Amino acid sequence: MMDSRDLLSLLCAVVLAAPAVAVAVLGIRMLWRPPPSERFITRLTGPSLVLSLLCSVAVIGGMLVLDVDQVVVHFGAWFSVGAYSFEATLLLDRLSLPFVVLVCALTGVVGRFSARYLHRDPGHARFYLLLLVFAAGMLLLVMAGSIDLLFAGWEAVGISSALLIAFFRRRRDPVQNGLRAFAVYRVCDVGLLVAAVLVHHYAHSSEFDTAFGHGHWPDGLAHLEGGAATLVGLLLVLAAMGKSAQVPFGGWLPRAMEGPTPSSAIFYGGLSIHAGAYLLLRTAPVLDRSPVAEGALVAIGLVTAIYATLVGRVQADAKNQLAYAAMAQVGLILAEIGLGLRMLALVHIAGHACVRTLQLLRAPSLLHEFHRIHGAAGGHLPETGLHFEMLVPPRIRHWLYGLSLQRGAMDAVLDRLLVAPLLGLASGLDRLERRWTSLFDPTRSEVPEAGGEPAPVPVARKEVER
Amino acid sequence: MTIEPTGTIGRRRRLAEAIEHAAHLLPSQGPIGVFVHHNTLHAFEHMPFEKAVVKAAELFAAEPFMSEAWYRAELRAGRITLEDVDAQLFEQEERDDDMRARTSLLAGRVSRRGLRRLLLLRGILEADPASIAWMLGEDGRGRRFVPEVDPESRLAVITETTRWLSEQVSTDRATLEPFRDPLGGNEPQALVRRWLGVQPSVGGLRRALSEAPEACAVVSLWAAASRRVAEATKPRRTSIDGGPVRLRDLLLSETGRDADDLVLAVLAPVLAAFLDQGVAYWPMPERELGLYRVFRKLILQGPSIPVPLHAELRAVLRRQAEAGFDAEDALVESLEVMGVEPRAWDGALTKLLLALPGWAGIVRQLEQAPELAPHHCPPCRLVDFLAVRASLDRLAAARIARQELGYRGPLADLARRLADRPRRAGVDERRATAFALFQVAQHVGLSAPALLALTDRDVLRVIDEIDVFDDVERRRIWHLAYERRHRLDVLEALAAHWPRVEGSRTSAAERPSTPRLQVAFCIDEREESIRRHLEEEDPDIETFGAAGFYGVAISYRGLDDGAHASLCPVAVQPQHEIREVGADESAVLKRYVKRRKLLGSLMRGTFVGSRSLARGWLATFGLGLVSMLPLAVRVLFPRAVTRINRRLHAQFFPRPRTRLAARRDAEERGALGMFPGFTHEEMADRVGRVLEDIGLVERFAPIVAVIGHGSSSRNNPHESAHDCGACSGRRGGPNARLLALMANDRAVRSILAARGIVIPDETVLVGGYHDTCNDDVVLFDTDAVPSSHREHLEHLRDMLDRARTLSAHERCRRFENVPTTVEPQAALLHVEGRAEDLAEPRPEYGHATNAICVFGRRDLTRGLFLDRRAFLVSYDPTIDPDAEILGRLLAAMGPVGAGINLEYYFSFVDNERYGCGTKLPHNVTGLVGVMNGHMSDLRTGLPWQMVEIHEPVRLLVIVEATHETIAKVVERHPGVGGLVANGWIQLALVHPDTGAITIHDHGRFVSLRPSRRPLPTVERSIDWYRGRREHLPIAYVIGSKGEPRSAA
Repeated sequence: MMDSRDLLSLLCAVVLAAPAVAVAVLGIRMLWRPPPSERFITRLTGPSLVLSLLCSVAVIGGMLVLDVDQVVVHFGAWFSVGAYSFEATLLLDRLSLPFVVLVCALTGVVGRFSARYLHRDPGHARFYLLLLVFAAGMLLLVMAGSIDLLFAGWEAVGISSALLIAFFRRRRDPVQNGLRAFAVYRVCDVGLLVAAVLVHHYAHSSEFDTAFGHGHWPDGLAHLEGGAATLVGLLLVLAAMGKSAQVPFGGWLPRAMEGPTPSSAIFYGGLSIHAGAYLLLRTAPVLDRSPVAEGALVAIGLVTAIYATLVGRVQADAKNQLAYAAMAQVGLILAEIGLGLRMLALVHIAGHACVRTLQLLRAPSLLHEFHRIHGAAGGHLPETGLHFEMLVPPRIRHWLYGLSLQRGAMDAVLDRLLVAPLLGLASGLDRLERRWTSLFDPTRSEVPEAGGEPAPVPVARKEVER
Repeated sequence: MTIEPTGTIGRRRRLAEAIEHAAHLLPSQGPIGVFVHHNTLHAFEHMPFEKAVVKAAELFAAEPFMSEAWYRAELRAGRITLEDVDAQLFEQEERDDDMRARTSLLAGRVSRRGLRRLLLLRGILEADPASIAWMLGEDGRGRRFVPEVDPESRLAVITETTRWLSEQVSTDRATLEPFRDPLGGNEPQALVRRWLGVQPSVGGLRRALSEAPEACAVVSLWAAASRRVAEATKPRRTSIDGGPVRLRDLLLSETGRDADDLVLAVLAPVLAAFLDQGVAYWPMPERELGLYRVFRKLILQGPSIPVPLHAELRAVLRRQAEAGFDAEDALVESLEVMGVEPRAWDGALTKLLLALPGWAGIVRQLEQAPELAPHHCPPCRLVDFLAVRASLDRLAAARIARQELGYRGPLADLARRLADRPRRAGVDERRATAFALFQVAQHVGLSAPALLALTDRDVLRVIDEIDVFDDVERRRIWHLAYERRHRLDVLEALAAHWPRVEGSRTSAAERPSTPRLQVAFCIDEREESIRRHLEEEDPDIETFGAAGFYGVAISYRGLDDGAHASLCPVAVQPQHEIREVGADESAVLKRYVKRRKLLGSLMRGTFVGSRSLARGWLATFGLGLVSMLPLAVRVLFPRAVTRINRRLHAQFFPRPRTRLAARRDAEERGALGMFPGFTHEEMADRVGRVLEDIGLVERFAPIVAVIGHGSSSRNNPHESAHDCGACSGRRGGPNARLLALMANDRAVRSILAARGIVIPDETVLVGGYHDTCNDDVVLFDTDAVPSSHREHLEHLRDMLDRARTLSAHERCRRFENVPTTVEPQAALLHVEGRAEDLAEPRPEYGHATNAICVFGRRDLTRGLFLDRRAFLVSYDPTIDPDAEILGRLLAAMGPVGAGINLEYYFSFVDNERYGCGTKLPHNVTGLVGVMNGHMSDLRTGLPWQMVEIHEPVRLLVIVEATHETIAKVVERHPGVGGLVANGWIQLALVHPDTGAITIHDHGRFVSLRPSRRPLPTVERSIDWYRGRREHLPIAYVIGSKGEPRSAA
């Protein structure tokens, strides 16, 4: 006879396994021709996401009935090396469960939406494969019981995001922009990776319920002290800044609108954009120990919110407007987390995800809506931005407008301050190494140059076919 | 760099001319909210179609026709037959006067037509020289025959070659000469060793001959082809044709970096904000300065930021500002800096405009017609655009030259230096020629010895013939064959139908009767199905087709509209404004207006608020989770949303009774410079004209319904492209309503009666509106229909309801995500949901099936299943002795039909260049157009989802008229004549009395050869289309000619 807790654990496992199995089935099926039919894909995706959703709701119900705060599912250690062991643990508590439900519900709705939206598209199967990878990755991310496992989900989300931005791979722009998002992700992932290593080092574990404190979320107490907490906290903030598109890394967010509308909606309106916020909520006990990290987070969040609001206000197209609106709210959410308002942030995330997903899905109806508003209002559009015009002197206004129109030059600044020095360093090291190795190779008289000058933008321009 | 003094007057004029010249090539699509179909290649209409598409393809780097592979697939599918291909080849040859070229055999084996047929049907592989080397060597094409070669030729070649090689090997002077391959880059030894797999010795060759005679034959054939081409022609190297004009092109080919990328990043946000119609929260300040001045001001007053080009731009613009430059000066300066001489301005500006045709095009459109802007039009001038564009262009080029080439000198010199720079020597192009000759030789059974025995002149002739019949020419022939099959299928069906037409005309003349109902629709091919179903449901119904603005050109403002809109063809400037007003000053009306205002500000508030910071926080935090409900319901149950919306609307916004303010007594114009309504005289003119046009001047039924059309779809930026083309991309309900109102007026009727059109008192006209997306039909002002006509009105309602259901059902067969087994009622529900479905990128297929346009009496086509492919223009030749009516019909509708048809043609043939690509990443910007993703050129043309089921054929216009009549029309209306003469439409005539069909062919009319194929016959339309998704041949539907079935 199965124990009711075992049943809960099983349900938790199914939540994650359903989309993961779907990924495997679809992925294997796509290896041979003819490509899977849309019917096959719909019949695979729909039920797997619905199953996930039902199981997650059942888990919530079970936890309420059994009156438990959290469920920890141990699958045992994947491998152990010395003192280190990679534990496969799922953790479902008051933080992850709302996220699990949100992920299942939004992915399910968008999956249903895409069946019609991407009907007859040559990339139909590829889209669904990536959507399922994303769903599985996102679920792993929010259900992970340790920072190591979370990292695996984090990466799955990142790669599916980049590949969906580059979905229209025959055109050059989507590929360039996908690559740019991917590069930003990778840079910021360094934060998460180093943080994970440091947590192991300081706390000798990476389990959330041990390393990050006693007591259940949101009341955990971290084991890390002072300097260590600050260091880990700042690294986690760095990781969150990439995925959640904060200043100065947020330039990829509008570029991510190159993908099909539903993927833009689910990733950059709904879920992926909030992954950074989730990470910080999950590791909030560490931030608690470090006023520096908290202060930095609040500052970054607020700067982003103001920046995105300014830039968003001059955007004249549907999707950029929504991208910057999302960036601004996520900035606020991070600031809330920095201020320790965790429950508030959680509700804010859920509400924001729903609103933006809906708004992005209906972005193509902008004309239709304006026409209706115009008619209903009796032939005029109420003007906006008037108080700004009254309060700010024209000179500053023009200055701000010019700045906002060029999106605050965020990408250019990033290129100049980060990319160019990094590329310079890399090619310098490359030259050094070649010179060095040639010393030991008497047959080579010439030192071949590797690259030329560092290019200003780190994306492949020449290789991609137009 | 020095700043020249302001240009002289002469130079400014020269500049204006150059801009005009360049601008005519820009797409003529206005803001996307009012989508007017037009010929994508309107600028080329003075040329013959077949030449124009090729020329335009070169200019725009687009495709002129479909690919050969596509046409071949159509041949396999039976859509093109071998007979069509042969007929086209024969016809082409007939046009050639060179009798010798036609008759003499090429290489003594094959006629020119035979060679062409072979190239078309078997096809030869074409590739660049490097790929050819790979295909021959690695891929084994140098050792094996092409699979399509027929066995006899194959055997002949092998036998001849084996004999020849055996002789060679057996002599004392055996050499490897047969394997010398000057163009393939192979030594004879290597060829023998690698391709034949034997030692290059007598023994080795003997072994190869006995073991692999095929390989020997093919390898030596390739070598022979290679030698013959090498001997007969001069070396040709790869080169860039024509010489690129723009520095950007030179730099791109030199460095691989595209200056346009840098330009777009700066320019696109500025243009989007400049043209914005109220989407952005902060509108761009001081737009009234014009694009160039406001751009300069923003850059100079804005911060200095490290965006590429920004610093240089500031420097240049500051100098220009100090020198007091205007846009013209700035443009001239940039052209001079780039080293473009005034005589080269035309070409340079053309290239510059075509680099971002979408944005340039919309600026041009708004410059010429500011009233097209949905809300307010900033002062648009193309020269402003060009001034900004050219400054950025030169700075981007300078930057790339500096970064990639280390070049800091004047740009003018750079252009010259790059243009003069010798290109890298490519592989000899002649390898491709030899490869073609090699394949042709296999097909015609020409062995190596036979090829070597030909004279140089013979070889050259074969090569020339292959060259002349190149890819574009082959696709042209394919295309003509593709169109021929369609044309003949349609015309033969019409011819087969003629006896029935004659029969019904005779019986109608013997026993004239008034039908029970008469219903007029727009000529739109999407209305063909609902007309047919109406006639099938009750054969006592007559239908007509008239241009959907029903002859009333008005500027209209409905109760729900924010502004006036022209409801008439684009070419017409309406002189009358019509308003929809409350029927009485009731409380309902006041409440309605008030509530709608409230709704408007609520919607606006939500839109703006949810995107702002503080209100956005409230909206997302407080109400966020609530939006999960609309999200889920909208996506999962789109049809339920439609129902709920309608119910809520009826509940909270009960629409007050309205009427059209149609009558005017005064003579003065109103505030908009237009007459507020029509006088009785004017009304009679319009009503009389429409009735004459459609040939309805007697035998009026008790109820004559006039139905306008439009289309509504929720999540679709191209919504307006599905609206009525005759109402310039708007909805034609008000026109129908107005026409009915005017024709019911007693005073109007008496004026008409005096002119000979007697509308009996028992006849009532009713206006209506058909939504082609959700197949809704509403009738207007039915409360004004006298009670004596209630029964007829009910019958009309009932019939329209049944017909729209069946029409929706017929449409659904095209939608792949609707099962073909769907029942009509379910199909109607489906299309209702489809229009509201956020996830549906193809709410309807629009004009995608258009292919035919018939001008004639309805009985010519009545009972024919035309598959929603035919524009049906009602025209009665018997009341039109002077071709007056036909003239005005053709002049008005010929260009409109051709415009729709050709826009679909080009958007289908090259969806990326002429169309706007897939809809999925589209992003509406500023309410003027769509971009791809976050920043791109504005995309014009039609999206793939709209055209994907289109058959790219030129519109087949069939007119019920004699040659003499049409000659008069063409003479009087040169526009129509041009379209026909240059082949932008296909024209066929049906003789009104004899039914003889003739087809226009290069200025003469050719009789249709009689065909014995009977028309497939079915009881009802549904029997013919059910369960099938593809384009269907014409069938005869018995149902619409039978006895009236309905009891009442």
